[in-house]
Amino acid sequence: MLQGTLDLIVLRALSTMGPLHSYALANRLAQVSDHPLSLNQGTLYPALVRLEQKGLIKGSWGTTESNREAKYYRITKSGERELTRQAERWRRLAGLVDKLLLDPAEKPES
Amino acid sequence: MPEIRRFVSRFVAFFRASKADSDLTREINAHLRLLEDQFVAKGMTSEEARYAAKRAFGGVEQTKERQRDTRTFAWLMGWSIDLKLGVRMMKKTPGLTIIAVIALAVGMGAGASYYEFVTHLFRPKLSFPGADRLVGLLNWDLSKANVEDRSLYEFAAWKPQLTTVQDLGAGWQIEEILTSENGRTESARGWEISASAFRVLPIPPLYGRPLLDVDEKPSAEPVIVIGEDLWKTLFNSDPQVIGRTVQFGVSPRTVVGIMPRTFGFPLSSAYWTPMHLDTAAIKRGEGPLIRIFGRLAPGADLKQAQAELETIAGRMPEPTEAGRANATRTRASIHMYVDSFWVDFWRSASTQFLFLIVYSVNLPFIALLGICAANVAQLIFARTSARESEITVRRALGASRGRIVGQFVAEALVLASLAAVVGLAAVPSALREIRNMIGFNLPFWWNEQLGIETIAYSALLVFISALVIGGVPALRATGSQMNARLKEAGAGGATMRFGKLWTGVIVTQVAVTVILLSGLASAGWIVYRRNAGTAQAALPKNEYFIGIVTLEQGATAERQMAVRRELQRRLNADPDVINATFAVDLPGEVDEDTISLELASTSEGRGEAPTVREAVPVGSNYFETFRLPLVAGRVFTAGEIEERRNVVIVDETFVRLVLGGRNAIGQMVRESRAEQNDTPVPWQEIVGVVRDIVPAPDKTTADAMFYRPAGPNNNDWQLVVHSSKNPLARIRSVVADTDHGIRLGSVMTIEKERERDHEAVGHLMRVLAIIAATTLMLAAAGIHSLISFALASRTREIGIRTALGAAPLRIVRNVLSPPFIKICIGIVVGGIPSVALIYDWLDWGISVGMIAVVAVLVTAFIIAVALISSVGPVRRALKIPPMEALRTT
Repeated sequence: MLQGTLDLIVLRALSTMGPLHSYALANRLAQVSDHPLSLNQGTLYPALVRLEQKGLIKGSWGTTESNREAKYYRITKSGERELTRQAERWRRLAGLVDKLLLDPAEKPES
Repeated sequence: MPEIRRFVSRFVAFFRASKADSDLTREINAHLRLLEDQFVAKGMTSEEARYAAKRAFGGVEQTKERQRDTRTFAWLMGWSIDLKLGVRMMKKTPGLTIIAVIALAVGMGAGASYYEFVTHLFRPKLSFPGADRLVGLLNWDLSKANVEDRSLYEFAAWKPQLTTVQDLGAGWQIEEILTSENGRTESARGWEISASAFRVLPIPPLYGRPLLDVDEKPSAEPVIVIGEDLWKTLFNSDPQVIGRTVQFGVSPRTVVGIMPRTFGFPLSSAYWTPMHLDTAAIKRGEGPLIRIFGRLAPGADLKQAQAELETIAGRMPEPTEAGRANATRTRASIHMYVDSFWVDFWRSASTQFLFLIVYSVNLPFIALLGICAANVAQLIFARTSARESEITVRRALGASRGRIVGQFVAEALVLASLAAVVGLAAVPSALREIRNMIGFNLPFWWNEQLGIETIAYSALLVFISALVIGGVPALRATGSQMNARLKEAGAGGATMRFGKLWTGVIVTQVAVTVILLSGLASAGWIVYRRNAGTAQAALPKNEYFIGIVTLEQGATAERQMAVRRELQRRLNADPDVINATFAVDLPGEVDEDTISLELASTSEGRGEAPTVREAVPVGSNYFETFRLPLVAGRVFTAGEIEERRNVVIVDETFVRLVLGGRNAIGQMVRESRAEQNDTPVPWQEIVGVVRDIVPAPDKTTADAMFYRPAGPNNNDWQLVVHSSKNPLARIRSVVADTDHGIRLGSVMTIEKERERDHEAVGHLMRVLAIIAATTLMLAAAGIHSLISFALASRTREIGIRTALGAAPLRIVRNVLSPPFIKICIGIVVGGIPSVALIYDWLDWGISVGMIAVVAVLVTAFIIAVALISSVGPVRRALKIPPMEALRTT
C-alpha cells in the first residue's frame, strides 16, 4: 500500500459506509489493497488511534449482527473536512503525476 | 489544529496508559473473535479458526506495542519506567538515599536561598496596585559622580512643577526613643515623611488612618503612625491605641494609625511622623539626607518624566561658588522605585552587568552543590559496582550506552527532585536565618516567600545534579573497560575499580572536611573565649545602658571633648543615673591583641619582656561606673585623660604576674619595640591598681590588664550609663539639653547588646555547623564506600589468605592500607591550608598550642570516622568462608 494512504482509506471507508468496527475496516482495507495477504489486520490499529487522537474519527462500543461486542468508529465533522482536503490533495497529486508521465517531453522517443 | 490536539492527547495518554491498554486488549480480542467467526463459517474447527485468526491479525503483542508507540511518546514511556526504577532503587538503598538527599538538599537549598534573597532584594515583584508606576527621584552631584542625598532644595523646586509625577514626596530617616503611657520604652528608627507616601503605596492601615497632608502643616497637632512591630512591643498589640499619646523623645505625639508589617515605606521603618517643610529656609546642599518618591501620572512614562525633570532642573538657578563652599552642579534622574535604591550602588556600570555580578555570587553555592553532587556521584558509583552484572548483561543484549546512561540519569533525577523538595522547603527558614544574621532591617519589599523563578532555578539545579550524580557514574561504568568486563562477566565478582577521578574526589572530600572542621573548631573556640570574658564580668548587665554618641561632621577634637565632658557631668548629676562614663571597650570585651611590655626596673638587667594585652583606653569615671574598686594609688585625672598623658592603671593580676607582687605605684612600663630602637615609646608611670574584672586562679600574663587615658581623638566612644531605673527618656532629654548637635543612636542595655551578638554569632555558627555536618556525613559515607570497594575487589585474595592461615589482623592491615593512605593524603592536603588559616587568627586569641590541639583532634576524628566506617565491611569480608571466596574465580 502506498505510504500515507492508510488514514485516507480509513476516513473514506467510514464516510461512505458509515460506522465500522476494526474487523470490517480491515476487510475493507484488504479489498482495496493490491496484495490482500501482504498486510496484517493489526496494521490498522496505529492509524485508528492516530485519527481518533486528531479528532477525525470517534470510537464507541457496540454490538455486531452476530451479537459480538466491537468498537465502532464513525467519522467526525472535522474528519469529513479533512477527508475532502486530503482527497483533493491526492487528486491533485495523482493528476500531476499522471500529467508528468504523459508529458511528451518526458518520453525518450520525443 | 488536529496535530496540536493529537500532541495533547498523546501527552494525556501517557498518564492514562493502563486504561488505554485494557481498552486496546478488549478491542483486539473482539477483532479476533470476529475473525474466528469468519474462519469457522468457512468450515474450520474452532481450534483451527483461532490460530488462523491470530495469523491473519499478525502479532498481537507487536500490534499493541506499535499502537502504544503511536498513542503516546515512546521516550516518555521509557523514562517513566526509568523513573519507577529510580524510586525502587531509592527504597532498596535507604542509607544512600538519605545521605544523598541530605547532601543535595543542603547544596540546592543554599543556592536557592541565595537566589531568592537577591531576587527579592534587587528585582522584587511588588504586588500592591500601581506598583509598576512607583518611582524614585535622584539628584546627582556631577563633581563626585554620586547621589547627593541632601536634596531638599531640589525637592522643593520640583514638587510644584512636575506634572508627569504625581504625589511627589520625600522623607528622611530619624531615630528616636518612644515611651508608651505604661512606661514601655523602645529606641527605633522611623521616617519623617510626606503624607503622599501613604498614597503612592496604597496599603490600608490596620487601625486608624495614615498620615494626611493636613498633618504636615506647622500648626497641626503632632501625630505619629506606628508600624505593627512597634505596636506589639510598645502597646502589646492593643487595638485601642488610636488617639493615645506616645512620648516621642522629649515631646508627646498622638498615635493616629497602625500600619501592617508589609508597609515599611520608603525602605524599612518602625514609625512615620509628618514632614514639616519650611521651603523658605531650605538652602542648596543642606538639610537631612532625603529620599524622593512619587507615582507616574496616567499616560506618562519614565522617559517623559526624565525630560520634564531635566527641563525643570535647567530652569533652576546655577549654584555659585561664592554662595557656598560645597555648591556643585547636579543632575536629576528618575527611576523605577526599587531601582532608584540601587543605581548609586551600581554606579556607571550597566544594570544587567551588575545583576550578572550579583547573581554570579551564587557560584560558590553552585560549587557547594557540585561538591555534594560529586560526593553523591561517588556513592552512586560504588553502588553501581553492585549492579555491574546487570549493566553488563543489558549491554550484551544490545542496550545502547545512551539508554543505560539515560536510565541512571532518570534514577538520579528522582533522587535530586526529592532533594530539591527538601531543600526548597527549607528556603523560607534559611531566608529568616539570613535576615537575622544580617542584623539590620531589610527593605519592605523583601519577603521570605518562595518565588516561581527560584523554583525554576531549582529545577535547573536538579537537572544538572542528575547529570552529575547519574551520568558520570554511568559513563564510567559503561566506559572503555566494558568489553573486558563482558569477558569477565561469567567469572563473577566485582571488576570495577576506583579510578583516579574517584580517588581525587575522596582526597578532596577528606581535605574539605579537615578545613571545615578545623575552621569550625577554631571559630567556636574564639567565640567561646570572647563570650566567656564578657559573661564572667560580674556586672548587672541590664542596669548598664550603652549608646553611640556622634556629633556633626567635621566637629573639632576640642568640641568633641567639651561636649562629652558636659554630657557626662550632666548625666552624673541626674538623680536617676548612678554613674556615667565614655568607653571604647566594655569590661571583658577588650581586643585580644597582645604586646611585649618592657619594665624599667628590669630592662637593664634581664631584659625580660612579658606579653600582656594591649592597654585599654578609658574615659573619666570608668572604674567607678564599672565598679572596679581602686586597690592602691589613684585614678586618672580629667587632665590626664584629655591630654593622654603617659600614666597607666593596672589590675591585680598585672601586679601579681608581671611585677612579681612588687609595689606597682611609681613603676615605669612601656611597649617593647625591639625593631624600632630609634623611636622609643615613652615610659608610662603606673599611678593606680584596680581590682580584676574576673578573678580566676589560672591566669597568665596575657590576662593582665592595664588601662591608659583615652585622649581626645577617638571616634569609637560609647556612652555608658549605669542606672537601676529605666533612664532612656532621661538620657534623651539630657542629650537634647546638652547640645543640639548630638545624635544618640542604638541605645540599649549591655544585656540586649550581648543577646544580639550571641544571636548573630549563633546564626553563623548554625550555618557553619550544618555545612560541616553535611561534609562530615559525606566524608564518612565516602570513606565507607572506599573501604567497601577495596574489600569487595579483594574478596578472593582475602579468601586465599584466610585459607592459608594468615592472621586476620594482618589481612585487615594489608587490605586497608591503600584506602587509609588516600585518607591520610586528604588529611595532609586539607591540613596545610587549615593551619595557614588558623595561624591567621592568632590575633583573635588562638595560640600555637591551640592550633596543634585542633590539628590532632581533627586528624584523630577523621581517622576514627574512617575506622568506624570500616568495621562493618571488614567484619563482612572476614566472615566469608574461604571456599566461597575462592569460588568467585
